[in-house]
Amino acid sequence: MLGVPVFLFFMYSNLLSEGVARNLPITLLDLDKSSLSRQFARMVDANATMEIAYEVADEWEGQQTIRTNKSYALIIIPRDFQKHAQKGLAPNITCYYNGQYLLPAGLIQRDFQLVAGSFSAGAKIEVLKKSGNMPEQAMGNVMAIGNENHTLFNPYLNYGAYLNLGFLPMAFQIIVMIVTIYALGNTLKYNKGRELLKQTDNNIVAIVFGKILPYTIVFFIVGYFMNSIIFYKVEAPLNASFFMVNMITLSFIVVCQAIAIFITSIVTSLRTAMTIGGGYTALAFSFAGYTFPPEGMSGFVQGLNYIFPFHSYLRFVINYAVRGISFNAMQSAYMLVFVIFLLLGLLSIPLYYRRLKKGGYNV
Amino acid sequence: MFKSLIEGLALIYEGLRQEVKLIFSDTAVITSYIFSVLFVFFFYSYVYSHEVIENLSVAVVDQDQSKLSQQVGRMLDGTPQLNVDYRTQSYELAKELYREEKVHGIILIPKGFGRDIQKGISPKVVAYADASYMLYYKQTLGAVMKTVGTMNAQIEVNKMMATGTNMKQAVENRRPFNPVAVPLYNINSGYGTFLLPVVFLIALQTLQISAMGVIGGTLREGGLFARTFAYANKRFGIFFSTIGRSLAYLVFSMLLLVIATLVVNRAYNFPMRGDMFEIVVFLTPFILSVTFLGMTAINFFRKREEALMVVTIFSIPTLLLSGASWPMQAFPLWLQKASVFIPTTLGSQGYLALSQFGASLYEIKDIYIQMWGICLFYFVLALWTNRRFIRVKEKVEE
Repeated sequence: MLGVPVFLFFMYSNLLSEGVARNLPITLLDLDKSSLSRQFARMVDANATMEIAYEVADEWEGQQTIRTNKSYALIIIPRDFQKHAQKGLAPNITCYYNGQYLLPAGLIQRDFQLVAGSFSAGAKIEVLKKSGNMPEQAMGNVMAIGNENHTLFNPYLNYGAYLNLGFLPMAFQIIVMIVTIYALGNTLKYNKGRELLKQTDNNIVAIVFGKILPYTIVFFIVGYFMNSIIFYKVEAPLNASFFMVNMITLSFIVVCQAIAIFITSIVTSLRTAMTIGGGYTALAFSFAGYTFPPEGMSGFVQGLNYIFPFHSYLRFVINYAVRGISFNAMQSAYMLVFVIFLLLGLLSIPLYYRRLKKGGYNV
Repeated sequence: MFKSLIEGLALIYEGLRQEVKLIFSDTAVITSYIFSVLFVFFFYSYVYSHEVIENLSVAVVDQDQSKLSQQVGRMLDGTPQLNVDYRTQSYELAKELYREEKVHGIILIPKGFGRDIQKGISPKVVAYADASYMLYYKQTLGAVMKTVGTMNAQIEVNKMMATGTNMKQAVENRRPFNPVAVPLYNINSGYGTFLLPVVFLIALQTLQISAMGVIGGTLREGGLFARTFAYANKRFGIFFSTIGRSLAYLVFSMLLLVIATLVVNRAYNFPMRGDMFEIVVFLTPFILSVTFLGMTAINFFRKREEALMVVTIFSIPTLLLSGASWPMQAFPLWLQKASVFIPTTLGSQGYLALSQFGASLYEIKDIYIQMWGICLFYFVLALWTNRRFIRVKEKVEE
């Protein structure tokens, strides 16, 4: 069982090791074949994001490369492009990009605008300079306002750091949940509840802690390993104490286990408990609002998010570790969610006790 | 020859009948296979049906308070992406709002902004965009770039018009050419449209395999495997019964995916541009691959609970490996090659091409042929598995 999380951690960090998507294949349709159009094509190709993988002779063929997943975009340079540009008729260069793949689409759209924008502005600046403007003057004419972008907390837009930060704990919490349910429910499945009670002289606290605590320790070690991968191997930004991050992970482990006690105690078979526990944790990623933030969901779903402790955990870790925000009102809301789930777990202990006294699920 | 053919057909029919009976005799199987799949289809579609974020809260720190700086603020507020909920002169205050998650980005307009524009010195609009959540970052930056671009054009044209050029000429003379970027298929970058087609296939794959694992695990746990499939214990029997059993899943899974493609897409206004018949033809080898993979996976499930565990854990990794969110080209090479063995990888590529990009089956024949290849690969493994369990008596657990 320990092999699974380790394998997943390894796979995720490997899969995203590139961090930034480069050289995405695109298609070029150059109907002009002039020196200007070739120069433009070279600039596109030199850009880190795009690579001209296909050059086609007509539009249909170009569309086909997109439709069949071979390329992400089709750039069309129209006939008489150079001639019209020199006449001042401002022809269009069109980039059709596949919007279905959100990440490549965003990158290509941004970089196409960037390349074409600077190519076109550069040409204009040359014209202005030749008509007697000073370089600064020409610059000010072409770009009255500049912009300065501060990319906070992930300066190189490294998707490896971004996605691993969410995916690793996601896989981790499924395993914590399922293993804990299995540990607690196995006794009930084979109807060995009474024997267990006899062995421990009806000490329910000893049973629950005896069953859970060893796993808590093991999971803490796995969680520590996970955090080391996230913050030191993948190098997600860490602006707080690594020790405290692990403490948050530890409390999250305990919360998941508390929910596991609850689920195991209210259902009538181990199979159902695992289906519910597995489904509940598998759905959690969508409700963490990480890749698609809650602002885009309906109010009902936004509220629903809090039912999944993973939501609170991930946001807490991002606020604390990545953004380096000290404890404030928002964090205390996340803590409150943790405490509520913890209480739920504690209150379920009597229920679990009742089940044990009955012997198991099938009596 | 003729007789053995009839016998084969009879075995196929028997396999189909028995498998349907197995599916419907266990409520856990029906729940996870039929109901959970439908639940995921509709519920996920509901969660993501908003498609895009609108009006993300940001703070504008206007240290200039001039006519032009206020125009920037108004224009940002006017973009569909952003809502300027707080206007202040203090950067510290904006930072505090950000820490409390009241705003998700800060845009600062420095002192002297308006004056510098008049002087022809390019002042800067400073955007602090939060990349700890990628969409906040894209949203903020996109709106700022658009606003700055629009204002630049406006000022440039105004300046030219001030020197006596007419408006049409000024607009045309601005740049030697215009770059135009046009999105295809998913024109609003809708998150639901992006995710759902892939989720349909992943959910089906995950839940079907887990249901098959529960059936197989139950049989193995009770030592009933050989007895249940005793009818197939003759020459070529396993071959025909495996085909028969897979037909049961083909029918149900196809039905579920047709519901997803026609009903769910329609209900939540997700696009669907393909020919349904071609989609069914394409999905046939996909569903069969999943089915044979499910049969093979029984090797690993001694108890039925184990099937539930493994499959839930692997649902997100398969999503990632399908290449929908992180482009395939950026995978390490070994994962690019290995991911083909997960049916959803080729399956979602083909399904997207057919249903979203409007490709014809002929155009994606490469993917289609590979899909059959994967199907054949798992068929052989499934045959081996079924043969193994029918011949070898399982040790009955207590």
